Amino acid sequence: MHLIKKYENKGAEFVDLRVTELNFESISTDDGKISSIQSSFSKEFSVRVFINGSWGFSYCHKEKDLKRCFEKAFKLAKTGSKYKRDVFNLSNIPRDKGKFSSKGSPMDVELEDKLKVVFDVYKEFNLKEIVNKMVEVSFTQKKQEYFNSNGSNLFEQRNYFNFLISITGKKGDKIRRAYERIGKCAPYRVFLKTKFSDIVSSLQERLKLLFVAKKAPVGKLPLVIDNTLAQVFFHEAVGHACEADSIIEKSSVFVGKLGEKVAPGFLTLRDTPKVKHEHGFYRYDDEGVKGKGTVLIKNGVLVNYLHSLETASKLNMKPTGNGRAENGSAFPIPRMSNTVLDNGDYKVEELFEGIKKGIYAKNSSGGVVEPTTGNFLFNTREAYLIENGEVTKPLLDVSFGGNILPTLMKIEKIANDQKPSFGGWRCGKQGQMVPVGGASPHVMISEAIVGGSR
Amino acid sequence: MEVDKILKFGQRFGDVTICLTKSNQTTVSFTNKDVGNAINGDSVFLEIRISKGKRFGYSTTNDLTKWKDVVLKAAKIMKLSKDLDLDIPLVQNKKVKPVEGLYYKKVEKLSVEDLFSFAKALVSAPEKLNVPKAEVSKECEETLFANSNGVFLKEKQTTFSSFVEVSDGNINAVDYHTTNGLHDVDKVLKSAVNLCLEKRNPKKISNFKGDVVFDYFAIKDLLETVLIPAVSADEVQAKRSKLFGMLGKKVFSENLTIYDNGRLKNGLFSSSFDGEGVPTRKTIIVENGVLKSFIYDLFSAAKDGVESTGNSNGINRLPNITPTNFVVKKGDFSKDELISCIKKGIYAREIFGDHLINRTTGDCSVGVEDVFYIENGEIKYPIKQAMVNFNLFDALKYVSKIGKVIRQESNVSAPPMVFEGVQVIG
Repeated sequence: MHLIKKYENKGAEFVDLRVTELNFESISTDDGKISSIQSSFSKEFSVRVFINGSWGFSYCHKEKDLKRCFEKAFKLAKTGSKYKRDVFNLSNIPRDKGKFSSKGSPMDVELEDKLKVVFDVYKEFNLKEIVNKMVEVSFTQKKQEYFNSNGSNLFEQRNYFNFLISITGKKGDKIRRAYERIGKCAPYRVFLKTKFSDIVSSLQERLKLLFVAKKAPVGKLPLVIDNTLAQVFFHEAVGHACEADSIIEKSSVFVGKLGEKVAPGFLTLRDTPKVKHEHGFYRYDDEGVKGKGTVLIKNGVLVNYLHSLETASKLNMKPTGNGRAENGSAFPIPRMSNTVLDNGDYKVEELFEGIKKGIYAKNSSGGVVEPTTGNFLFNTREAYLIENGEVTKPLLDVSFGGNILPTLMKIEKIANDQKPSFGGWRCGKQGQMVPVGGASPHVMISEAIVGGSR
Repeated sequence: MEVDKILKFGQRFGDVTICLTKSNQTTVSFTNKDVGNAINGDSVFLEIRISKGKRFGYSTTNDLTKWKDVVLKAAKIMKLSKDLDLDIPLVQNKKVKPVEGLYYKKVEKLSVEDLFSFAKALVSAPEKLNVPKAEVSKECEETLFANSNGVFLKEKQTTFSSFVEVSDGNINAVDYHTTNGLHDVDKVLKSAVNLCLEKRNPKKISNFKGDVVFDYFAIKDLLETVLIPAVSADEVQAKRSKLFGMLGKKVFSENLTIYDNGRLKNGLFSSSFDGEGVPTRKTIIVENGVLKSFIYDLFSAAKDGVESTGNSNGINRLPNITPTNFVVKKGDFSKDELISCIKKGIYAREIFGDHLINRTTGDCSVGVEDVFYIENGEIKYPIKQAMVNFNLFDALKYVSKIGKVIRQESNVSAPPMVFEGVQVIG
């Protein structure tokens, strides 16, 4: 790329260019009727220039504006460098070449065929209490070229599918909703293999339980969380605090904790984009760094953070391939890929043993964490009371919270049933949404703040 | 790009609606009081809808040279779609009156150097305090709306935003503000600094039932998550709303009056026309506790046999409803007066985890942030961590103390309020 060379000669210390193409298709249906079918195509060009520790970033949507885009990025970096106080150099800049295309693009499949799959799902609903049902699917194909002033030249194509099945039921004056959301970074044939009938029947079962479910107790209680909720828990409660920008901004509970024990000795947690078909899969991040996977907590000791090129340079550490951007108009920042908790030694049933009164919490409707204070909060989609070691009454969806560091030390048992979540999660940070995922076994926490049912 | 060409080409398949949005955005951000990055970019978004009878198709691109492909794709999608309940409504050519205070040339003309000076002001906190993050940005957006009924509308809007996070090493506090014109960034910094200092030395509390002063940020999150969907006609028609069948009935406390006003001067979500080209208006939703109206787009309005309230969120789906400026009428109490009526309770500035609220039932079991413990009418100390548990519909039935200062954040413009008998979990 002669433009990259040109601005290097003009004094840029580092230049990179991303060309991102997104193809998107979605079908939303409500009670068997199409509420919308959408399709979109976008292409963006994104240029970054680094001078004296200051970044200039410019993006455009026309190839013929690319020259101007380079000039703008250069000028922005130049202006910024005038105000810059603490200059730093970029280190460990990658130099990689390769082309990686995934087979089985959803864009090669006709809309007609996709619609048929959606409408077939409706044949599975048979619970009379259902007053509304919704099925939504979406398909994304992302193609990205990456070039930098160190000679990198990469191309990667990934395919995604996501779907949501939701039912709302009414019994007496009780309105309850149950839903399942699944997403994978996988070819279309994997979407076709989805067992929709199983999903619908388990949703109907859940709805029935929600009609008889009671409000959860309030207070400090022991908790067993299932694979999906555990994965979301580790993403929110631990993963975010490991993102190195929050370390640099001193807004993480893990500041200064590298090499220290932060969890029980039987706990090992990693971030890795390399989980087959999981939503957070990729080969290279959006700064051209290979995603090899990073151990964050090893046998209870915090051993690494998640880096972009900038944070790794500032902290004199190695980049970890976690510099991700939502799209072409977004600047790459440290993000998780897939958060993976290693298996423990227990069988799942052993996690419930000895709990007099507690909560069995399954699946998640999302969670949040305030990395500075370490406070976190989750909501479940399914929950049960545990009484004398047995799972008993169904509960309305429960929310629970706590603080990261004390809660980590309260993890008592980890089961040996690790599974990817395929929850189709998208994680939001600084206004950017990126696909994430993970895998985890069941986990038992001796005490968490249970905030009742919503 | 010529709009006429697209309309003409598209008309061979049906009615055509076009929405074209162009924007230019510049952002300057600082980390730890030092320069981070400066970003500038152009975006464009072309949306095309083709409709005929009870069917429509929609497609978009940011590559304007591909408009023909987009029309063909929309036409194909229309063909594959199934019939909706009603014919797809298309706005008629009506007079549209401009709204004051949407566009400020001063904002559009801000240079990168200007933004750097604003950002420098935003990070000039007292030396003992750090500013982990600060950001200033400006945006200028032009919207063009046209359809094959001869409607051709244009609007230009600017926004200026500032965000700052202040830290004393243990406690962080944020403040932010977005306006169409310029605003005083020093005030934003000052408010974050004060909050940070007030939050120092937090204590733990134990569980109790008490009264909560929710400030406007919290009220905004609660209304956005629960009440706005409940008054959106599509949710009502799908019987997902708790307010279904309640029109004309008293649903909330007589102290509550709520309206949607797309023509609010300087309103962040004001515009002269909505996403379907319908002229905007003011709609009273709740008047002295009585449910007066839902908010409608063209499609949901046709279903109920009423007029659209100008609340369409765009041509991408039907129905597609959004509030404009969702305003809660202010009350008589100053913030201190709200606090002074409370025997035992908390003041909470923000909700933590608003997406975890149950939208259908209104049951809220969420965390609260920037929280202070109140006893005998006085703020005693900041609280480390707390959750609250209550039902929003019930709380709004009994609300009696409403603040007299309103502030707009995102779509909601609301005063602080006191909710009584809330379960507080320490």
